[in-house]
Amino acid sequence: MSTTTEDSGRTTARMGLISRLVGTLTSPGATFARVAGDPRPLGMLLLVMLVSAVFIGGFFSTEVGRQAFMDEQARRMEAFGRQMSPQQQRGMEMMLPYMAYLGAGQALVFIPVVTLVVSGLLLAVFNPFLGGRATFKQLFTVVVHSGAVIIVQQLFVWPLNYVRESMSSATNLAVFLPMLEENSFLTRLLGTIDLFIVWWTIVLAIGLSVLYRRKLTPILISFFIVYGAIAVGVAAFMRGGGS
Amino acid sequence: MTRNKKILIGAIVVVVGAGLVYANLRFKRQAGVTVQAEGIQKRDLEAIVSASGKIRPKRQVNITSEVSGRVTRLAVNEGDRVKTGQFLIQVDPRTLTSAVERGDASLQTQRAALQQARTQVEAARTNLALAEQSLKRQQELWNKQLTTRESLERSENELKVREAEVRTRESEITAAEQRIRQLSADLDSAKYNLSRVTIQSPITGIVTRRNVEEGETAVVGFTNNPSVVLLTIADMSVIEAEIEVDETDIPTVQIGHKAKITIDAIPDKKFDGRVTEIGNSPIQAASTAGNQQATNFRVVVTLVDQIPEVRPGFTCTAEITTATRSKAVTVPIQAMAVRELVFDRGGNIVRAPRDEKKKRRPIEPVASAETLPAGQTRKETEGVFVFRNDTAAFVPVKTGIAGDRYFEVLSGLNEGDRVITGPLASVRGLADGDRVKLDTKPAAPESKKQ
Repeated sequence: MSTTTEDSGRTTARMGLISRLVGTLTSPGATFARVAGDPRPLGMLLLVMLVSAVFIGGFFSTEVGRQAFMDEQARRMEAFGRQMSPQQQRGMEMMLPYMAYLGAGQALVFIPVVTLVVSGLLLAVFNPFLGGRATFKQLFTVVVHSGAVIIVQQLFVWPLNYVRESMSSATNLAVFLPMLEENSFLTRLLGTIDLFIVWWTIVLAIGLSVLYRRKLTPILISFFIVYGAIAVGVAAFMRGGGS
Repeated sequence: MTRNKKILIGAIVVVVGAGLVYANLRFKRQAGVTVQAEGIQKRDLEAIVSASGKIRPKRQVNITSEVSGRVTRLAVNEGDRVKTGQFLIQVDPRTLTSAVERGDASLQTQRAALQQARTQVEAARTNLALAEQSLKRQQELWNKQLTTRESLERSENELKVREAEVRTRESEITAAEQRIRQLSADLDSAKYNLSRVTIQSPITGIVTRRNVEEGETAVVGFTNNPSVVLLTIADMSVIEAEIEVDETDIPTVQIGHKAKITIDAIPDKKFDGRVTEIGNSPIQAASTAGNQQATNFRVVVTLVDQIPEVRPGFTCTAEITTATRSKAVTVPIQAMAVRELVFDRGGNIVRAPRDEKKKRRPIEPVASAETLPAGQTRKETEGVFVFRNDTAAFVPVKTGIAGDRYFEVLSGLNEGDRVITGPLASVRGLADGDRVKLDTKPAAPESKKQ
């Protein structure tokens, strides 16, 4: 799959999809430097979409997955202070046979949409305010490649969720503190901080620092501040809704 | 990035990943709502019917004047204690004294007239006797032909005239005697009227109201215009609480039931009493909600104790003990719930199978849409949730009397069972078999008698 490209008078081998996937996880700085120089987002985007669709659809195709979905819906409603009515429960149970297709379809639709939106937002922030000159394609490619973390997440979480028979996040900080009250603010706050999201944030920040040739730390701190604010807001809203 | 740094990051990632796997598989957050539970205990229980009303004396007299006139003397003030027969009020007696004197004079005059009439009767009788003697002589002479017929007839007529005169005089005596009787009655009436200008206390008690001052005019009442109440005297030796009891409570209240009375004006004290009257006619009272009317019945509780500081009209609250139980199995009122259960032919509860792994409840069938197997019936059942093996088990109970905070449980629970008592929102939303967590915070202390 390797090809060659001309960059600043040097000849470097073009990275294959698997190399980019592994490189994003193991050497994100170097990988993003090469990916930004040769922006090819489609392959990685399709891979992320495909893996997500297969794993989500596969999970929902099992009875364990379907029941976990129902439990998760009930749990979320309770988190906002509501109870699932028998009518709502019946409606969801009627959807269960189609959940595998719906879940897979959701992944196929939402992943590119979300990636586009995130890319657009980052472009809107970094180019005019920070004086960057990256193209949308470059930025989109960086965001898409940061999705390598999502692939690892799916691989890691799928068996865990199946064993736990649950769809609730298995990789948030709250799983380390089971002694906390489920509906407490601290539990909800820790529950919104997912280690894979943190990892994805770090990888994305590295990609942006490489793309815009800026220091990593300020970008990372900014991302964590935004993430922390969103986490506090969600935790407070869920707590308020549940009280 | 150096090789060592990469190894370190890789090791951290592996450790965190392993930690996540371990935490997810090893730790399990206890599911279910947090509830408070209370162990079933035996308690002394009292069923109380509570109602408010007013304090009043058993006996109360409104003093009015039977004669009209100006009040010339007033001997008491509000709050004074008076005894039976004690002077209270004097109404101006002059008009009535004159009437008595006038009547007395008329009577004396009439008595003199009677005496005169009697004398006249004596004179008439004497004249009659003379006329009889004269006629007798004339008849003897006539028989001997010694007198004229004219003389004889004159004597006969003279006798008739004298006889008529006697009858006339005698009737005058009767008339005079009747007149004396009439005047005597008038005099008695005038004396009675005179006696009514002096008002005395008919009972021993306290002057609770005085509506008149010296110099004011007391007015006699007449049809549709009652006379003005001058004084109110209350016999405070026996005090009653007149309360209004809700119609739903009335069937449980009986004559003789004990009651505790709390008087707002005398806080921190409770007085004993007994129910002595229960009204048979409802009192329509406007409720606080608006146009709706509450139907109450009048109940009178007679206080056993004498309370010197009490005044009629004080607001009071009576707690009537309608039933008592000693060492009854009890359950907190807030723990009671109503759920629709399915019963088989034998009256046993048919519980829907439940998957313990699921957080959700099984869907409860809609009554109108679901057909039960033959022999099964569905009905709303009163019961409590008992904490068993981290779940809330709905147990139907049969309740007896209700205390202030507890229901008597006749069947369904045993001493030692842990009944889920709160929070109220949790009890309201619980279903049979729901997973629950027990709140380990210590409960507030409670009194033994409820």
